[in-house]
Amino acid sequence: MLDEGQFAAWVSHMMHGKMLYREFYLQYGPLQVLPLLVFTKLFGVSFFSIRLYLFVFGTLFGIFASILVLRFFKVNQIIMVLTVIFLVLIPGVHIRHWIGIFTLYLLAFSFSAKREKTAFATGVFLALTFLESAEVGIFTFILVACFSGCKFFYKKTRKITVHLIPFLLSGLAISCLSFIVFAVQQGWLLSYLKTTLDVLTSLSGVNLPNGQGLPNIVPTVQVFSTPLGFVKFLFSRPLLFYWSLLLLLIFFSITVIRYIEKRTTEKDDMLLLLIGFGLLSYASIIGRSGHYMLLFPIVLVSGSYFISLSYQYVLNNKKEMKILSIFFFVCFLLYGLRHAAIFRQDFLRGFQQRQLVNTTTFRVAPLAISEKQSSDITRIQAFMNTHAKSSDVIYVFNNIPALYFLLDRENATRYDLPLLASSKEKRLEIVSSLEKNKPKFIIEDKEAWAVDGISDRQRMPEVISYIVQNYKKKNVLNNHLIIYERSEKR
Amino acid sequence: MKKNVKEHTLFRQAVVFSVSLLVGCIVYTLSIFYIVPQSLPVPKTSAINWLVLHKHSLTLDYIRFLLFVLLIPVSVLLGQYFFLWRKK
Repeated sequence: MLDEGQFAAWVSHMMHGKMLYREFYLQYGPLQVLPLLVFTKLFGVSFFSIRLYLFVFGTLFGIFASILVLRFFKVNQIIMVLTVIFLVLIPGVHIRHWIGIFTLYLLAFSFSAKREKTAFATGVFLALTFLESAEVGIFTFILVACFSGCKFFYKKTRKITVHLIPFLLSGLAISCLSFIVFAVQQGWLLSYLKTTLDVLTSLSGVNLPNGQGLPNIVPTVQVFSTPLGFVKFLFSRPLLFYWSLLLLLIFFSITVIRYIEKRTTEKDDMLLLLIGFGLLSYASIIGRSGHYMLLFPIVLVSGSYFISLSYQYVLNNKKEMKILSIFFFVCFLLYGLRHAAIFRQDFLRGFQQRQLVNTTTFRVAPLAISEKQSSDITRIQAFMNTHAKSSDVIYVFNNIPALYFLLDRENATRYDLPLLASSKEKRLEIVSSLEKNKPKFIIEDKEAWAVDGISDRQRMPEVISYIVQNYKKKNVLNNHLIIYERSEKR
Repeated sequence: MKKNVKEHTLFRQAVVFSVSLLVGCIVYTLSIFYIVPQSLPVPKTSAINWLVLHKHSLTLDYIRFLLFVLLIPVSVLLGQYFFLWRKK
């Protein structure tokens, strides 16, 4: 619930009239958060609305964009169906990346069909991509600029580039101006720019809060004990990270060869944009290896183009080519199936494992959650309703931002995910906010997920030291939810 | 007949591609074990994260990534250059 929880917390803050970026730390673009407010107004204040937007809407948009790209590639029907099935089964399609790919599709399509309206839409979506995620916006912008530059320098396409670029720029300018007017009216433009700059600079590199580095590829001795063990290691979760990168580089090399041999069409332009987007995204997830799943769909869609090209040889008489094509097709299937086996959607996992119950838990219904989760939420809600007023602020020490939404209480600090307060300066800001706003209760979950194996007590020594000095244990719910109350002497 | 010759050339091109890819992978493996340093000083930061606790250098990861991204296409394209040169 960490990802969904932070979105839920932001919705809760906005419902309490707090200003985004200025009054709570938001590491994403406003377009990822504002639609959530609309969804909660339409479908009710519940996790159901959050999931509906993030999961259903996000996945549907991604699948729609991928189908458009596959149709642009004129991929064989069988390959297209298989690709879409894999995209549905494996949870890697996210609106954040696919809005960028959709923009690139519009760009390639506008040049291919020579359409001014599509060029204008490219500009509009380029701005929307940046408002969705600054990082993805920058990648898309780089690729749009490189693509337009190459088209301009190539004599044959110079005329159409000069014709289309003004439409693209006007779409971009109109969207940017509309956003600026909206954000100024709302009063958070400067805070947005400041926070975005902070996210792009301080939350990267060594300050990355959940940085783990590249997955380890050095096998242990046990791996070699059985042949099956070695095969399993070869296609294990960490190694898939490298397999996909290798595939992307192979696709890149083949496309460059096709350009050298002058065998390219406008489809290869789109392919190169997609591969470029994949490689830039890869560079951005070094140190965030947990985000690998977002890259799998890009590799799969680019791969389906080549598989479709080679598929024509399956029905061919030449034996070597036939074998080679069948081999590629089998590899494509195995690649998808291996990912499905490791990363498949939650609803495909064993029903016994899930132990879901229908629940009427406040702010979760009509979603079904486990008995344990339901009991935790219900007990902590009952505690807050008995011991705290609705205006009382609280602080959740762990990365469980969902609690602000579920308890309908405001956060005493700006950080809903404490792990984002990565630098000492930010940790001291939390302490200062706790001193200023004096939350009545602080909640700590003993069983909370230690992100990358670093417990929150290890990660935030200044904050825990402040809690120990100023708060006393009030209650322990379900043996793991500790509630601290502010000491009266203070 | 003409189609058969074209397909035969395509098959040979695929073989050269695979061999040069393999060479690229071997060169990469050797370089990360014997040329690239195994550790680098961890830059000073006030963040308490996995990288700091494990004294793990992210710079080194970027070097490994860049090396991989450069070596694979370079070796494949060199192989294809060799193939086209021989074909001529």
